[in-house]
Amino acid sequence: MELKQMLRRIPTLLGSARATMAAFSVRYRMPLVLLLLVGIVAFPHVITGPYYIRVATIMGIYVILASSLNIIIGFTGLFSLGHAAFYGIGAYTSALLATQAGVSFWIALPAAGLVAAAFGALIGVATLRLRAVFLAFTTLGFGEITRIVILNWRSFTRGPLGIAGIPVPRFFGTPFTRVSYWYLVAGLAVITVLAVYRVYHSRIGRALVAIREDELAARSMGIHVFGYKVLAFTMACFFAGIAGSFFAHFQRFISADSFLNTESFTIITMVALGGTGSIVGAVVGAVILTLLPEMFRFLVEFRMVLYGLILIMVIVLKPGGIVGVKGVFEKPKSRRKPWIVEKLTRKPTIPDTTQPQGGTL
Amino acid sequence: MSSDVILEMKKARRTFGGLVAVNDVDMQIQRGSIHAIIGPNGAGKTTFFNGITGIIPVVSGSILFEGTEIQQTATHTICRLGIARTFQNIRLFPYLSVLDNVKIGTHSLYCGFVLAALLRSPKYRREEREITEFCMSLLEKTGLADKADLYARNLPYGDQRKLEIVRALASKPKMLLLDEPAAGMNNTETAGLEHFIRSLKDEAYTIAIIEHDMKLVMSIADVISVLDHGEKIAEGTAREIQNNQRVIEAYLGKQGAA
Repeated sequence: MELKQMLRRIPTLLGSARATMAAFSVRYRMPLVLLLLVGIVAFPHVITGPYYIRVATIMGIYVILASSLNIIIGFTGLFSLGHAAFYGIGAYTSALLATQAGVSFWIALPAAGLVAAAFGALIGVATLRLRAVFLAFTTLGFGEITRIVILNWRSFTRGPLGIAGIPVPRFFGTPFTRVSYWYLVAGLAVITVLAVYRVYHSRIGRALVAIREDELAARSMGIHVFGYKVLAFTMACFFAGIAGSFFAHFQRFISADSFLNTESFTIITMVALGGTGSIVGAVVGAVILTLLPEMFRFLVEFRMVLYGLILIMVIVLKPGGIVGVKGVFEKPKSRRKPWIVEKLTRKPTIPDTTQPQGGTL
Repeated sequence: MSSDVILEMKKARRTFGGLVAVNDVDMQIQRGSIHAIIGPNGAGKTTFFNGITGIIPVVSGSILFEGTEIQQTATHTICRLGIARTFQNIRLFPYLSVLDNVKIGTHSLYCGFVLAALLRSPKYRREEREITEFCMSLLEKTGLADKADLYARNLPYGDQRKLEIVRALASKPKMLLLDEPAAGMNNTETAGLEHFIRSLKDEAYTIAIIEHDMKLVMSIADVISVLDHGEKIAEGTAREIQNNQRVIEAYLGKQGAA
């Protein structure tokens, strides 16, 4: 009896713990942000091992990717499975500009973002009229197309050989070191998260979330649904392109193998694990899913099984993700189906009004 | 006289396959009036609203809002012109706070760019402050202010209905379309709603209302239109409608037909 009562109290306790944490993070927001910034600056001087700095840098790239994908999946509620393609487009743009045209990294970086955003807008216009699962398939297809084009357009991308010898970025003449790579990626990640935060808390962010919650109601409130979907896609792809550009200049060698569809799934898992629609969630997911595979490196190929396991555990145990408000895989609390299921099964027209309601009193 | 007409429909028609949901309906809605649309289930009332808001456009005929044709206009543009609506089955944004729901209602009043939001320009800050103050004042007026931070899904049913109207009001519409606002409400809640709708009329909103609660309709409506099988069978004041033979037939069947 005692135990039963205690068990019953767990959800409320967890709820209040979460509320306390939320209140804490609001109350001490500035000190927490300062602490984070000090941590970023101090990190490479406290932990000097090249391996740790490298892992942290890769973590930074994933923070950018997960945060940007969160705009599409978490805010707008669209299922895009092709995020790695835009990451790859950014990387190749930057690498080709640097190796073929000798463009400086500082110009190649925003250029990669813009090219990826342009592709995002283009793909968005072409596919965003599709719903749910069809959108997922077309974006998945686009990811595959991108990979195949990179592999086969040898005169331009050097095909399976990849692009090697991407120059090390220079900062006022001094070439980048491990530590400067870390500072740059941390800076980019902070800018990305801040941008996502500001967009989310603006009129634009509200419009995106409204589309996720109820497209028809959003349209009736004067929101240009299609336009905002394309905007969400474009913004997300811009940041993916930036991440790609950084990756190219950090790794200094890129090939199609870095931008496979599995990479897209990794990013989605990060967003789902951390919590869809939550800005902190995307960061938490990216951090955890970069660290875990490193910790389980001894498992070699079986590490990838972890991803599947984690995803299943999230679906079963915590559909909203670790800090998410509303999960992609949320369990039905009432008779209502989870919103993603509803979205996937909803008919293209509005069912409740198009169907003649039978009976005349 | 005709300058007082805010919305005019001429031979509006909507078909679904062989079914004629709205059959060449002519209707004029006077500015500042409460215009009720009643009819048995399946009479085409909601389709009529969907036609006005462009969600399911009419197939022929024309709809004029303040003199401009809107039958081909997209739903989100119609909202900008000044028509806001609520839905028969509540369509709030469940995982957003009450305040955010209302804030989304103001969407069509502003046009912010991504850059302004990213840089938090002074104009953007001013607008956001304006939006928050305006929405809070709306919530205070309707007694929802203390629930502003709750998720919309956690509100009691009556409050959800109310919030949907507040959200529609946030777009500062000239005309409000209410689709069965009293559905599922008890007598007290309906009385509150009646009071609320009357106060809206005093604020010079034009209101078109679909409702099955005849007591409510008869007491607040200036004009009542009756639809049956997609056709307008009667129009007039409450008293006229109550004594109209065709209306009685539509609701209760022909006398002696059985």
